[in-house]
Amino acid sequence: MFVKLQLKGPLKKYGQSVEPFDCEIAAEPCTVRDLLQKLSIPTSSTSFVLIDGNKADLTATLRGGEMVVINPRVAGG
Amino acid sequence: MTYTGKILRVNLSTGKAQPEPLNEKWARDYLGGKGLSIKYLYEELEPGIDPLSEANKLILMTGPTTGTIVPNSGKLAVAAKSPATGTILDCSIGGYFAPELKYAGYDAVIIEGKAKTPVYLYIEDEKVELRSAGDLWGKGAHETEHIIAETLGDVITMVIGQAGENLLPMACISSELYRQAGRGGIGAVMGSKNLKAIAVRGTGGIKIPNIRKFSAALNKIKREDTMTDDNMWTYSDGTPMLVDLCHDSGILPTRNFQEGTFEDYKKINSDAVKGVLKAKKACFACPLGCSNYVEKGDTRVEGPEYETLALCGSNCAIGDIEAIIEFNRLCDDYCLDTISAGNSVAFAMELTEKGIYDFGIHFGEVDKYLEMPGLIARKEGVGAELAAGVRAMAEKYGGMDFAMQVKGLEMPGYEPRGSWAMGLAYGTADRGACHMRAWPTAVEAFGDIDPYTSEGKAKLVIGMQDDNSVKFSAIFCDFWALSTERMAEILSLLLEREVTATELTTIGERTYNLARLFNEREGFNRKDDYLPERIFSEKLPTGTTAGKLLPREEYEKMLTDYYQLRGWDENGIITEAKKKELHL
Ligand code: SF4
Repeated sequence: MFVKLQLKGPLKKYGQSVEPFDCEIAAEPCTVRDLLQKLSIPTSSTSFVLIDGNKADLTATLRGGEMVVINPRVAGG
Repeated sequence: MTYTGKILRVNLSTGKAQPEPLNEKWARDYLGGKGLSIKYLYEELEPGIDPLSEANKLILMTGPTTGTIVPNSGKLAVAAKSPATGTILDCSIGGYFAPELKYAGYDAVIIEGKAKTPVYLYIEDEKVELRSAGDLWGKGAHETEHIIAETLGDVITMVIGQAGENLLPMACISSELYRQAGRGGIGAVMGSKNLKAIAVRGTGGIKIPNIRKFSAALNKIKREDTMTDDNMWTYSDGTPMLVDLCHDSGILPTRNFQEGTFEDYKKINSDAVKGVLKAKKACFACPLGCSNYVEKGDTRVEGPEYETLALCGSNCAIGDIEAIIEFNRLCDDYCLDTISAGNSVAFAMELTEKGIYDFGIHFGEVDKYLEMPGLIARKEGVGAELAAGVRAMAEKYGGMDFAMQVKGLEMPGYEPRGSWAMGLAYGTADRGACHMRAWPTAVEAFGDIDPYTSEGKAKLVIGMQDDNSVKFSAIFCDFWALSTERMAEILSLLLEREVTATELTTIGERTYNLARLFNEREGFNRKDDYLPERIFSEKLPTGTTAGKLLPREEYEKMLTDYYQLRGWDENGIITEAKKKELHL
């Protein structure tokens, strides 16, 4: 099973491509947190996640086929 | 000690320039930058003065980190009483001016009085001259800087454009072509003094107490604390990344804050900026280098930053990156604050579309939009109306409920209906609607804290305001997510005494209270800490924030909590006990 994954800003270094790419996830339902773990992205480096354009938290389940966007944590303003 | 111990006082009325000792007690109580410049202004300005009269003073203040290789320490505080709001005003400007001033031997410059004819100030170490700026008056920032560079050679300059000369409340100061002290009409204070520019060259240095220990500590700090994921967004993208984040969170100001999402956001986001990116640039001693230097045809800009993309882009329904870059360039050259200019244009568009007054410009009209910076800066045609800012426009033509400002300062790019603490931060910011005193949006709209509750928001905002106050006093750029513990470690190395995080938090709190005291003396209180009615009573229509507003009673609750936690009375007046506690 795959999701289309887009990593934003400095998180791009954790992915295979700076563009959205297909990322394999575990066959049984897996959460966003599992996906971050698989890519070795510390949760302390992320802000909110979008699944198919909707805001989701780290416990949201992925079933394959979704578009997932992971945003970095930001400071300053 | 990394202070030079010397302040340069320049009186433009008499033409005299005199060095004087830095007030060491005040430097200990307020560090430098924001805090120390506010202290000088509080002590030296008579209450009730006209900000555009010769009684106002303009202060350029460095800090104890300035001129060293401490990361993100290249900022300068520029302060005065604000012509836009009548409040205290301190702005932060990056680049290379601050270290150059320190190398010339000064912690600060205090500029008083008013020159009879246009002049510019030239500082080269002990040599201080006022030179005629007769031939520079009327010129834009870029040409002015080029002419001064041709005349003086290797200097760093701060200049005003036509907006400052014409005393606009949205006039900014520009430095090194692309950097601005943006808000509150600080450029008009220079203009009112007939001061076109300040050029500085310094050939001295700064003595670091124990350079070996200092360098080793800094290398460690940079590795562990600066070049990290939560700071590197500034390098990978810079502030344009916030366009996507704000759109996705439903807080991207669109059509004068009528919506929180923009259908064309992808045309003005970080990817769009990267399409015209030529190079990354950085301020002095900054390893993050957030600045995007872009080029399109003959148009060159450092930016556009998020605030410009939001206020001059989505907020005016302009989904055309080239047009925004050109608007940005024009604002930079005339020295207009893009946040305020974007708001004025968007407000005029809404007034026109609602049939309240016909300014002849509609949302999304690129050609008319590009005429605006020139008309505003020169106060020509409708530009003369827009130049006064949205509050003055509303007073004259109506629409006060959707004139997006607090205390007369136009609102930055974070919609408070999707980030309630941001609303409180705008309401209680010392210089009017400002996102740089506290930026809770990062943890509310983008983070884990519920944006739609008043619970805990007062504490959150106060913590951020106090931290930022000391950060802007030390001085650090706010893009470095820096703890007060880290700050204390760095300052201990520079000041040869043990500086603690607790001491720094107190300095932050003292500074924020002193700013409030300044405003209190000018007649500000609770009545001035409110947001425009639109935020309280109009629901956002689209995106994640669809159906959301910030109910007035929830705002009142946050404000009451805020005053209580601050040790202010219910009218927002600082209590005697709090003044005593902070030695105010
Ligand atoms: S992060 Fe950007 S604004 Fe801050 S010091 Fe670095 S280059 Fe300047």
